Amino acid sequence: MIFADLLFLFVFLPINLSLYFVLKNNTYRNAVLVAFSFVFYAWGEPIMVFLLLAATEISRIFSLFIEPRKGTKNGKALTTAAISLILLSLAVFKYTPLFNLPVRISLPIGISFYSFQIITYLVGVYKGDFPAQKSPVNFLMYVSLYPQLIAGPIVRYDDIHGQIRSRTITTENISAGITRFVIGLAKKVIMANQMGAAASSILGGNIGTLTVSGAWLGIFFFALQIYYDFSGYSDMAIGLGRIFGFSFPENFDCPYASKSISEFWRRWHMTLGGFFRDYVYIPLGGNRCSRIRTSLNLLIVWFLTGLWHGASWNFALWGLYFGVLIMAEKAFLLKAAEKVPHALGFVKIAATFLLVTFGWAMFYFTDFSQMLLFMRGLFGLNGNGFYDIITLNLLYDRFFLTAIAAIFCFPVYKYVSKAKSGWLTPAINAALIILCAIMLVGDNYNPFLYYRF
Amino acid sequence: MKNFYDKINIIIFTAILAAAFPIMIFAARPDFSEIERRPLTSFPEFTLKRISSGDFTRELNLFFSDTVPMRDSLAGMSSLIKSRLGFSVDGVTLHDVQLTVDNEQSEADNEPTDGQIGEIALDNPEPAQLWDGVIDVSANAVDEAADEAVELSSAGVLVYRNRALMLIGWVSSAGERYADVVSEYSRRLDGVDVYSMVIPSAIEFYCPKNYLSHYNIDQRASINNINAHLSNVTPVNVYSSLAERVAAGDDIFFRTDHHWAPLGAFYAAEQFAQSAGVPFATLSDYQKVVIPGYVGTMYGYSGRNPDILNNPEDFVYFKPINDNYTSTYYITHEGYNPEAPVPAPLFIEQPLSESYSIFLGSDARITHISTNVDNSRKLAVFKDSFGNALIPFLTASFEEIYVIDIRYFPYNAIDYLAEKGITDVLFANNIAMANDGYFITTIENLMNN
Repeated sequence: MIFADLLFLFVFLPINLSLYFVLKNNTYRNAVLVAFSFVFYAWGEPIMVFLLLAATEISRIFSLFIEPRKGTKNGKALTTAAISLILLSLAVFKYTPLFNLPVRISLPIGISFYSFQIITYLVGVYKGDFPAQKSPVNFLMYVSLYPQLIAGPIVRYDDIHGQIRSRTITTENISAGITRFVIGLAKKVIMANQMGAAASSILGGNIGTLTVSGAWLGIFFFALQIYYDFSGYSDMAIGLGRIFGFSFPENFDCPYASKSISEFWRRWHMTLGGFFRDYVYIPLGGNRCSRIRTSLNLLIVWFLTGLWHGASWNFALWGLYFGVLIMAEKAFLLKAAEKVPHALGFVKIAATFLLVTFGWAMFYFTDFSQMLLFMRGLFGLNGNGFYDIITLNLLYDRFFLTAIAAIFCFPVYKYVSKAKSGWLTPAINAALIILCAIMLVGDNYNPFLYYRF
Repeated sequence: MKNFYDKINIIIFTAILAAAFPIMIFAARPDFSEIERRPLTSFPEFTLKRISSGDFTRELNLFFSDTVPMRDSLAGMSSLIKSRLGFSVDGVTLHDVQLTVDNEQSEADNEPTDGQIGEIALDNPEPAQLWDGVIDVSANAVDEAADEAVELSSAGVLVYRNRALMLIGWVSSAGERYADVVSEYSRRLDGVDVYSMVIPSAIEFYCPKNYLSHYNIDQRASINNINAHLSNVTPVNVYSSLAERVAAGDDIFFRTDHHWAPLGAFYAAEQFAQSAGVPFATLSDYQKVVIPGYVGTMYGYSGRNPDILNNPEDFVYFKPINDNYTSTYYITHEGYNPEAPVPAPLFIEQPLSESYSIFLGSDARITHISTNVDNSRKLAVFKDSFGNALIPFLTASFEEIYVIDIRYFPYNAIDYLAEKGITDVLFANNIAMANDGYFITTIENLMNN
């Protein structure tokens, strides 16, 4: 199931919320969340729910053995074994397509997210950051909690283990959660779906005949689509979590307003970047080793970050592209950028956005020959010229929405919310949810992009 | 005070969910969309296997969003909102249009997916009552129109001056094969005169030129090319005469439907009659029937463009004043006995939005017409739905007419024509079909049924 769906919004969610708030006892509430999370997950993955169950319970049992041996050699061996099992299942279920094996295994939704969450738990227990979870239901709730199960944010066990036991539910939190959820819904239904339709009308055809402006417009629409799609999903997850009394980590912070690639990655999919920093880059030695080793560490991290996005080599290339850019920034670009006068900060934003958007071309095209064909279009090397009437038409067709989408990539809402809104917030929420419901009627099935990761 | 507005926020959100929940669960759900002319997603079949594969739940989601109570009005609102998200260039709005087009369309691309044809279960198995139960007939027609439009609209829809035009966004060499197949009929039908009329579509005449060159196949060149490849077949090239009529301001194509208007068919029929050397009645021999308020197939296919809905047109057709003919149907739709003759009128009243199905009621049938013309000329027309509008104008030209829809003909065409003593064969198909590999193969296969 997905959030931006009438069945979820008006059937699943009301039942879930009613049951949750009718019960006052935290244990029962946890049980309700587990039950609904399983229905939610099994809705899309009726069989793979057993994989989730197995991964969760096996890891928890491991953790019970790790806990008394925390910090020891044996504990380390056990932790390594448990993590290896989790990574093995990720490799088997996600990465077999890379090697053209004769077996075809369909990717279990959310495996990339929940595998990482389990790893944060195992490492934390080994380090003694928190006690191992004795209750299977509670641990299952952490892993399977449906708001963040299938597309993040990647919630570390450390972030919420206290909240598993007890949560304070306040009017203010529920209200803020609702607002956050509705904003996310609007980002997905109004922005991402429309930008997606525009992008696919350009990128979905014969890209060999694109003009320069057509190619850039297409990938620009895609840049907006993927941002609104993914950050909208995170907003909905964070909002729902807040309604239930959880506080999930933030995942996006206006990444397209970044002035460098390094900054972009501190503001885009923050929980993934944080995971790779803390669980891969630093254990590899981070930047506290020789220059060559640091560069190698960076490349490994970015190769893996790329590949995390899908079992296709274009994602690895996309990751490495950012690895190289960040290395260049560290080496000289950031220093050079410091010399740009403050008033010209927008140039840095524009340059960063351009580089990121160019990167989306590597992300979008899983087929390398298509990717190259498209890049020839971006740089006018296909002889199709710069401009055509249809590109202009497609730009104007959703012009107002595109302009609003572009503006809201910047932190404008921070100024909006500063003005005490009073009636405005409930009114806008109501209008947005009704608008989204209308726009979902008769719409084609429209899953989230990050669903496949 | 902050807390007060938080409470208001929670109450409003809860109220919306509380109001929507019973509507989603208990309210009656539509099963047919009038504006999209298609049956809506039905409740999925419930089996253990379909649950474990995830099909059941996936389709349940589709069912819910597709059959929301008041879906057509809500979907109309949704389209209205989407149409206000920007503005148009030169008054042109594009729907589902790809910026780029494929130069060649493979046959496989054209193949209808499973279940597209004949998926609708007909409640009334009694063919004799078909035209009384208008719904059954139109349901049939809707199904067929949808098939055809899917092929026609492969490149999307362009709306210009309240006229929705289907783009035929591919250049294809398939037209030459069409010519070869039609010529093969001529070769196998000894002593029978074979004619080919490839009917251009509206986009050719009404599309702004800068868009036309970007997308559409050059229909005049395509028709000329097909005609040049015909052998022992008389081409009936209606392109120029239709272009003249458009230039003169005649409404020979609908603005809101993907078909040509009956008036266009009249001029084409006239030209065919001249080529075939048969008599032809003038327009004054017909009664002009005007049905106002018509909004055709293009409203749905243009993504429910509000300009199309808000600018209906007159559906004008022509009925012979003297009913000097009788007609019989042989229903070839799945579930019917094609051997059973069903006496039926040539014009069958339809709901307003299905007006084009007035001619012959639908496509899935062989129509046999006997007229009081005494010239020993027996015509068989192999056609798509464009051909339907031609038929009434030929009732004063041939002694007998067999109308055969290429997509719904169960017999060996050569044997059938010989058996009926056919003297003239007309292939009357629109330009998209004549360039469509799958359709051409279907025509070819009719010789080997």
